[in-house]
Amino acid sequence: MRALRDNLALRAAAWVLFVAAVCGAAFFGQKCLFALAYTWNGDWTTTYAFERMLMDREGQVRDYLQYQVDLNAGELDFLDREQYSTWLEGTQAALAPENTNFRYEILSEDGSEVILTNGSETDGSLEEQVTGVFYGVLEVQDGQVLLDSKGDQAAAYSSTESSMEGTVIWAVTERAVLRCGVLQPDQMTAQDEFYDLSTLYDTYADHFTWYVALLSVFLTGALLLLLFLLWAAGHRPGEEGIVLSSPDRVFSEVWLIALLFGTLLLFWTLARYEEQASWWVNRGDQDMFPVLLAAGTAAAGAWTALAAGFLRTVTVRLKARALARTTLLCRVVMFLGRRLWEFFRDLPLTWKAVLSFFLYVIAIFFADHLWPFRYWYPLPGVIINLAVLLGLCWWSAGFWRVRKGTEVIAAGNLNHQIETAHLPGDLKRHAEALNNISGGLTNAVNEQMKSERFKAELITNVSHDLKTPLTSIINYVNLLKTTQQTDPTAREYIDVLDRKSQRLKKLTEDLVEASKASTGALAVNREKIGLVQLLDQALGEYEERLEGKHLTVVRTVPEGECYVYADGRHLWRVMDNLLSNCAKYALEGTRVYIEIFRGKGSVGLSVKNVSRDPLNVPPERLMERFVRGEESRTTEGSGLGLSIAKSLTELQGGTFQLVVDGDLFKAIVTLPQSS
Amino acid sequence: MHTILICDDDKDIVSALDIYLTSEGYQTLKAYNGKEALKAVEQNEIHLILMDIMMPELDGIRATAKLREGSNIPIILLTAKSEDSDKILGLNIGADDYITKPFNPLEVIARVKSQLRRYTSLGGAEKSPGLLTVGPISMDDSAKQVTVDGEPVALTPIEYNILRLLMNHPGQVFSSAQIYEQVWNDPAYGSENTVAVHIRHLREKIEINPADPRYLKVVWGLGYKMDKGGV
Repeated sequence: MRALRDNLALRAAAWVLFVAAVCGAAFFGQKCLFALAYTWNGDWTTTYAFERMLMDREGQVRDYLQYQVDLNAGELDFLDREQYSTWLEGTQAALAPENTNFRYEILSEDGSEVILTNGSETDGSLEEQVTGVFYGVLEVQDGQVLLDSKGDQAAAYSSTESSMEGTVIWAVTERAVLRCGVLQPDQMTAQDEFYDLSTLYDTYADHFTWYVALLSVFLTGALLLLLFLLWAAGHRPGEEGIVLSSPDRVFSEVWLIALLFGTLLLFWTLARYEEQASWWVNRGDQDMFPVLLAAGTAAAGAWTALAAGFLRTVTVRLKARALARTTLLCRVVMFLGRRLWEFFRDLPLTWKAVLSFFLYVIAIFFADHLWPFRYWYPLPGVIINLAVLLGLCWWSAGFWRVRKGTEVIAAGNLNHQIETAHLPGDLKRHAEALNNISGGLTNAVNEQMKSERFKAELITNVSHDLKTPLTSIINYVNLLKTTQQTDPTAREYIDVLDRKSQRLKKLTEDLVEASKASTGALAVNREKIGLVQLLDQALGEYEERLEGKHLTVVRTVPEGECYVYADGRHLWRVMDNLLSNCAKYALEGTRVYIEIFRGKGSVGLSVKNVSRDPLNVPPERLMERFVRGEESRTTEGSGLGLSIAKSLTELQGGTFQLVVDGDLFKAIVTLPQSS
Repeated sequence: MHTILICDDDKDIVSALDIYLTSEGYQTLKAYNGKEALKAVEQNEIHLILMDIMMPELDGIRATAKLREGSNIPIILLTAKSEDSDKILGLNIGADDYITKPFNPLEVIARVKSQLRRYTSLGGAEKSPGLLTVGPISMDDSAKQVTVDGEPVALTPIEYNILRLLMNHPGQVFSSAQIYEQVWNDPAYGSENTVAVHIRHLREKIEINPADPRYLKVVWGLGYKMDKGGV
């Protein structure tokens, strides 16, 4: 089927066949029409042509009588007499039984006597010979023979009128009766027009069924071919989908105009054709039929070909969904509509609102006060108001949805996507922008979490790998120390190695802890613990180290225990880091102020000390990893202490704050109070 | 003369430990993965095993589990994994002690000695009345003497009293104030970090690694307790 469709030669042949079929259908259609024209009213004697012929013959009879009357009147000069005699003879010859199948008899007014006839008595009476008897009344007035044809209605002509006395001679007979008719076809002897008509009728009557059958065959064939052609139209061998050929690319209007012009031409032709055909048909004259048939077939074929071409291109355009695109009017309308819509769409929202309002006011005015709508007042206005109300509801519902979605995103659910289907234009754009933001944020947060986790894992793994060689270093340094070096320089070097290896050890431990704390990879077991107790325990641990640096601790705690909700081990690490910071960086011989104070639902702990070195780093930087008050990195400490302390405090739901005021360093840890 | 099996895939660590242990008078055997360790245990009489966890072929945890099927040789795990979960796993599987890398060789020797003393000499020591024991720590209240792994430890009276209080109630947490009131028989006002300092001194005397106590534990923010050993 597909191969059939894509065969271009086959399609060309189909076109030719189609036109041929249309021509055939037109040809036999005309034949049918002709046949119908002859057979519609019954047999051949009821045709219009028969009537005309009979009338002609009756006229001939009248003329024959007229010539006789004129000649009998004796008022003609010689030349006229000669002329009339010739005519009389010609008419007589034409009416002679051997020349015509028309039979007539003229009866006296009372019908008792046959005055004139062209029939012979041997053939029987007129009624026996002819297909039907037609009557007429002949009258002579002022020398003019008048014929009043009565047709075959004998009743119309009544013998009651025949009261007048009448004799043989025309000249004195004022009224006579004409009876006439045409011989039965089987009795016809002359080859006249009646014979021709009878034969013609028989031919059409016999062949009518054939004409109808052939007409149906051609019509069906043409229809099937057209369907095939329309189905195949637009396809090309070796190409998918519908391809527009050049006739399909011209504007549809061109085709439409061509079709209109063709149709007008067809109508004009049909009018002329009808005129000619009826004339010739009514004459029963077949001589012009071939010309008529040829002309009719050509006209019908040409128009149908044009119409089929139009149908084909419309079909192709419809199949390719290009009808609107290839129609000039549609394009103009669409272009204007789009421009108008774009203009409206790109207006600022305020202008849109104002414009919409004025449109609404105008619409209401028209609906309430203008003619066709005023008739139904107030229905149109109510409908418009309802529509506007629906529109407003739509807008509000959309806005509500966007607002709810935004709240969900703002609450932290970055994966939330606002449903943008069925939202009004501006809100839709707004919602899409919000979705993009939330998508971007989600990606960013995911990326960050992934990289943090990766970092934590990396640090853990690296620290494991560092620990093994570090173990060897520490061990062998220790072994070196036991070898009793006599060279003081060597002993000094070994000491350096020892210190640095110990520092490295501390650093790797802190590194793992810092990464765990900052990524939240630590288990937190929070319980009710006493902060004062913890502070005293911590101070107990640090007493000697602080004393060694000549630091005096000034401890200020409120009356009674301050219970916080925290993880004791993590909180100890916070305290540990803060106190070790004091031991490392506080100016020797100064005081360290440690205070515990109750806040609103929280308990605070502050550690204040004077830094040995100037703190030229902002407090935020101090809490970053690997940042120390001094940048030389020669002193002990990893630079991770404050970062760890901050992360651990936050893990326990607390806050960690640093204040730097000149050399005064102050750390404030706030933890949630335990109920 | 005790034989110690050192098992670690890092040969330098093995030889360093070898040097330390040999200098302490122990006989050593070396293995570089879990399988070799199992083979060495089959073929020799071994009194203690130092075992790394992350090793090729057979790791320390599996090797320990295998060894525990038919032997009660003390096993000390040497591990670079310092997470609590790793320590708990090692101890539950049957290890007697653990040391995290990078370790202090002196601590290793101290722990080896402690384990050996308990394995060889104190294994079946009968309990006499008035003798308090928590892990390797024993307190003879009648003689006012405290021993760790059989070695006597010199304590001040306050330290002794604190230790006795805690050892009488192993596992129970005492706050600084409670300890002060019970030991000093005084209200705890102004005691502040006195108890904490004493406890730290006490820890330094009875614990191998005072920074990572096994028995006398600090419960931060609550107080102190005596633990029967573990993490």
